[in-house]
Amino acid sequence: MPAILSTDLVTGIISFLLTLMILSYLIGDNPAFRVAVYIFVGVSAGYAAAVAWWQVLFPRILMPLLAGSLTERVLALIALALGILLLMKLSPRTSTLGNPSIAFLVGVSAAVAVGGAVMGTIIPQTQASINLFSLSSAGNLWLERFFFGIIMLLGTITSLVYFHFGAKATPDGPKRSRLVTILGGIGQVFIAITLGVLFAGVLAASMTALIERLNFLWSFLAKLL
Amino acid sequence: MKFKGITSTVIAISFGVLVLAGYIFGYNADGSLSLLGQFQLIILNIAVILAGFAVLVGIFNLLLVHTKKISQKQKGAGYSIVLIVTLVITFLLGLLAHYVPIAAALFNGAFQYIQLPIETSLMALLVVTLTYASIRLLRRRLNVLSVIFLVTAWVILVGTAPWPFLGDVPFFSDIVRPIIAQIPAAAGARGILIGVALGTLTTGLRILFGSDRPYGGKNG
Amino acid sequence: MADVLCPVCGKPNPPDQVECQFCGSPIKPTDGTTAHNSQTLKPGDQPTKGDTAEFEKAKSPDENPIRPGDLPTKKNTADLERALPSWLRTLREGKRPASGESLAEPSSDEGLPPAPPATPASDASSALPDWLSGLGEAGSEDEEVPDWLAGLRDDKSIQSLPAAGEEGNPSPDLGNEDWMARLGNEPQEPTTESPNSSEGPAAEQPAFDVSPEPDTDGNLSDWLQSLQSPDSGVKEPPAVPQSEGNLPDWLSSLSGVPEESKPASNEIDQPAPAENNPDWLDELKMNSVTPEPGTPAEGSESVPDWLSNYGPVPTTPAATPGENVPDWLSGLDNKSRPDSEAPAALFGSESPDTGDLPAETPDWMSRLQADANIAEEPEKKKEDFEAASEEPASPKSAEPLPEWLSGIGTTTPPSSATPALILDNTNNPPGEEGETNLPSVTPDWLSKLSPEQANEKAAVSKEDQVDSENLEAAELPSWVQAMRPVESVVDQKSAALEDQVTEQNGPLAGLRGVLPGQPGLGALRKPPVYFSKLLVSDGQQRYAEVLERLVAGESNPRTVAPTKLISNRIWRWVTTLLLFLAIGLPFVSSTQVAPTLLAASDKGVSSKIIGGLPANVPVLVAFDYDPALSGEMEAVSAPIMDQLLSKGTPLALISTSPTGPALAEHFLQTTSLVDVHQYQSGQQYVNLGYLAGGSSGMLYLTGSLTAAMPVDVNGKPAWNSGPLQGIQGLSNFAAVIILTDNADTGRNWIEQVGPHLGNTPMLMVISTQAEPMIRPYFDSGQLKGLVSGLPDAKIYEQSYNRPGLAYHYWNSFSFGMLAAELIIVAGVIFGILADRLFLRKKNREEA
Repeated sequence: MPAILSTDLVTGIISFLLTLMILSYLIGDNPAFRVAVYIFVGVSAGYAAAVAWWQVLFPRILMPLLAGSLTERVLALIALALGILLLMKLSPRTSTLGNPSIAFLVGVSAAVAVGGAVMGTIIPQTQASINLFSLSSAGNLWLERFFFGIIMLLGTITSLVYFHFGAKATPDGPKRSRLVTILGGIGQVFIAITLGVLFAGVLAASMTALIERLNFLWSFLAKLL
Repeated sequence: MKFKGITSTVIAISFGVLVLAGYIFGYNADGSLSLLGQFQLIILNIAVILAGFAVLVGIFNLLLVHTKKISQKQKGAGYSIVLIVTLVITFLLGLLAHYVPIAAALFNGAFQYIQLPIETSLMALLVVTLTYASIRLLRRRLNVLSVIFLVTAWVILVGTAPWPFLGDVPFFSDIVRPIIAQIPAAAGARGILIGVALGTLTTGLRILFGSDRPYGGKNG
Repeated sequence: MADVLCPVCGKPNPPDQVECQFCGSPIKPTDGTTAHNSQTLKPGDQPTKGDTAEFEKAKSPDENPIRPGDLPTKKNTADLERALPSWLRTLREGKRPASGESLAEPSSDEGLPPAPPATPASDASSALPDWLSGLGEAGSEDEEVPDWLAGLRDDKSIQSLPAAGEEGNPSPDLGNEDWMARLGNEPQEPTTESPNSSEGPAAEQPAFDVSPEPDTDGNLSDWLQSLQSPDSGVKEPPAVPQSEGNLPDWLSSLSGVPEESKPASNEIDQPAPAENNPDWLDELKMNSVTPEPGTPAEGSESVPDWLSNYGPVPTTPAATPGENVPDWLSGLDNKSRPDSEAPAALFGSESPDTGDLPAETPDWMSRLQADANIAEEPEKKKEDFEAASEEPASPKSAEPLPEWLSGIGTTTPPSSATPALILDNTNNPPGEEGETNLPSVTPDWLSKLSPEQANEKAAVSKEDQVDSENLEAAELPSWVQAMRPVESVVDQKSAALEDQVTEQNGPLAGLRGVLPGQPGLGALRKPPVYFSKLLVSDGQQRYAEVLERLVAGESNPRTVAPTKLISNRIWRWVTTLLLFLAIGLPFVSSTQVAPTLLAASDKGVSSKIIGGLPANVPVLVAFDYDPALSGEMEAVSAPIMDQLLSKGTPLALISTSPTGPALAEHFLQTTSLVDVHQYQSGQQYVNLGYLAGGSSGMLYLTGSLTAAMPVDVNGKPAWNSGPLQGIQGLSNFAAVIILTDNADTGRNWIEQVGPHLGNTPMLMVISTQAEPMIRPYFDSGQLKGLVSGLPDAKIYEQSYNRPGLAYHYWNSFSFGMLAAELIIVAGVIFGILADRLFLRKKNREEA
């Protein structure tokens, strides 16, 4: 128990001090805050590197090379070769050697993103926008649903129009058409509302984080005292 | 000179098209993986492995930057020493964690008692910053959209949590906040999502067509 | 109108004059070039005194421009006179012995009249090279030959030519020198020579454009006749030093001919032009321009009174070729060497006629003399003709040295003034100059010319020559150049013009800006001055200053008005304090003051779904939230996981972030409501670990679950045994619960995994900040359940009456949110009011 307590005490003290060091930024920037931040970066980077080794490279390259089948070894070697080429990106002189690996990642990521965007967002969301006017299941609330559907559709379309930046060349400079300008203005309102809700959500989330930290500090002090 | 970089382009396009084709032709009628689907999985496996290497590349680059900062005795080199020391220690603990229990405990403790509190505390600082920023918003930029933004945020805040000793705020908590959050905000969000998806689609197709080549210089 | 200066002699001429009335040279160049001394004069500048000697060189011997078809004109080789050896000059100057006789040595002065050897050579004269042709012209170009003397010479030349022909060596080209020959031959046959001689020069000088103008026969003949009457009735021009016989004393004294040569020299009455042109001299000029027959003969028959006063008329020294130089001529040479430069120049300008040279004189000497006479003849005749138009002055008046005579010495450069046939004065040491005295009866003009005056005049003339040479260079003095503004473009331009050198020689003589004939040997000029300083006008300077100010203004950061940093800090401290108080007080009181909420965001769907899940079917739980929001996410996820764990549902934990597995472990071990279930790794749950690649890994997971995550975080096989045994794919899971605080991560899960779940519901537990972006997916049906933020967690706990972190944080959350709302409202209102007041105050101050 004393060891655990001591362990808990030590870890608690460490957490307590680091928390205070970070919260000291509310008073002003100070070296304690900077030290805590640099410690955080170092620890998180080291942790991520260790996790990447043990949970990605070790089981997917080293283990197949040592104990895998021929196919697995071949695949592992290919992956290892590409990975080593990717490490060449660290040096400017050998940076060009890593371009094939980067190209592979970019190509695969682009394809995955395209597939996901089409099948996961565009089609379902479009369908959802259409289904807003599916009044068969609304029952008595069909008017309400229809009204809300109109608003939803209007918000969706105007928000999309707002992000349309194509313009015609005019003597006074590039200008969007009047319809696009009007719809874009309406879309700005919907986007502003969305961002306001987001702001409130972030504030609420950070509030919860502060509550958790203050709770920790209070609990530690209570335990300590 | 024109053929320099064609290798990377061929790699990007070929494997990208294969992965994209696997979305459509990757499964048989019975739900099993087709040959293309299997090839797609191989490609994805290699991509996962390369993603792990990418994490290492980022961390090694961080090491190089701060090492250079220390060697050149730039301002803030002391902090860089702290960073490098903690990074190396944590990494070594992580490497030894599978073999040495104490190292595993320390490795876990480094995350639990160092990284977690610091990161949580950094998030907690955001409350004060956001509150102060909302106070100065209208003083810096007073227009219709900023007013709508701030009013919406305030209304959502009011409707999110009930007031102490008063309970839920009538009309705000049960009507205004749900309507705002579920209709106009959702509409705007949907528009943003569709727009983002369309942009992603466009960018991805440009890469797959070879119009954009973000993978390295001209000699790729 | 102002008079125009002659570019050659420098004398003023009427402005409408085309040719100089003194020297006959054209005043205005016909080819458009500027004259040598026609520099642009600026007000206040002193007139430039040019060197007439240079003009003599520069001017063309021909008055008229060269026209196509004209025969070439022999050039003046007066410059070469300087190069002639002294013995040659001596030979020329009158020592006429054939072989053994010593030639008379007149003074070595270049201005001495030449002692023409009596060896006219007609064919030799025509074959004389150009450099010798100037021998006779040297004196005539450099000096102003009096008209009367030129006339005498012409007569003599006319007379001497037949004599030369008789002797076999005529000199038809040396018409001016005939008068000397005539002087020499006059005692014998003066009358016969003149008509022939007169024809000779005219007929035998086709190359010379200027033909001697006919003399006034009557006038010339009279004084010549008078000259001849005392002794032989023959009056010869005094410029024939080789004329034999006795020279008049005056002539001998003038010429400086040594005494020994006196007998051989006819005392030629040679009135030196020490005074203004008398009438007789003008008449003589007109008569002597073109020697015509009869004129000398007639002139030789009678001696003018003035000449008779001076004694016996000397015989023509050229009548006896081969004899020694007459004493008069030698005396003339000696006398005129230091003192009487003018008369010496007179004699020098009139090269002797080689027609009557004594036989002893070598042929080449006679040829030299003949060429010199021919070259001088046009110049002399021009001068004689022009001088004849002038009003003659009294010959006997005591007048100062006339300009034309004084100019003889001044315009004669030392190197070029030596007449062609002037004998060198080597035989006469300087100390013997005194021996060459003038005769007892000296003319008034000559007597006035004292040695000192002569020296002064010589010195002045030399100074003038030097000055003219200096100025001739057409270069500004250094002090003037130093004063010149260096940055002036105009000055550069004028300097460029001034730097141009006038060509001195060749056919382009007199032209400016001519390229040198030989590279490197051309006229040197001052190198152009290049300025390193940029020439900027005032306007450009102003523009540059404006640009410099603009650029400086851009580089300099604007001084921003210092914001109220103290007030900002105070605001931040106040906000922090209020929030800390609002959040911290409930911890102290630990009472539940805030009532419960009405409804969850998804209206309890998630709770229903989780409640309907089978008990032993694993559920995939993705811990994809950051450690920063672990406090909220643990509080929000706790009730759901609690419900799930309370059913004993096996869990498969996965994460697409490196810290996910650690968070999952921490959640299951320390989170309230969850830790009570004491799930053990490998038994109730399997932590599959970190899945790299993001969306690619998710897609990989959907394709092959076992291949994507073969082992757990401990490296043990995850799918063969344990809670996940029998799981082949995602559809085998009872549900997929995504715990994330990031909307993008949630979207990726929905996009990549959602389509492959089939009937497996996907639930999402998100942070409050991700709700707006995830809700459309819930509305679209892609998400079956959505739990968002602490309020939903509170409702969830409330529904199951299992207070957890949400319950614990709720009071603080309520107070904190209220404080934030109030702070925002108060701050906005205060800020608006403060700005308004500040603006009013500012307006008042400005007003």
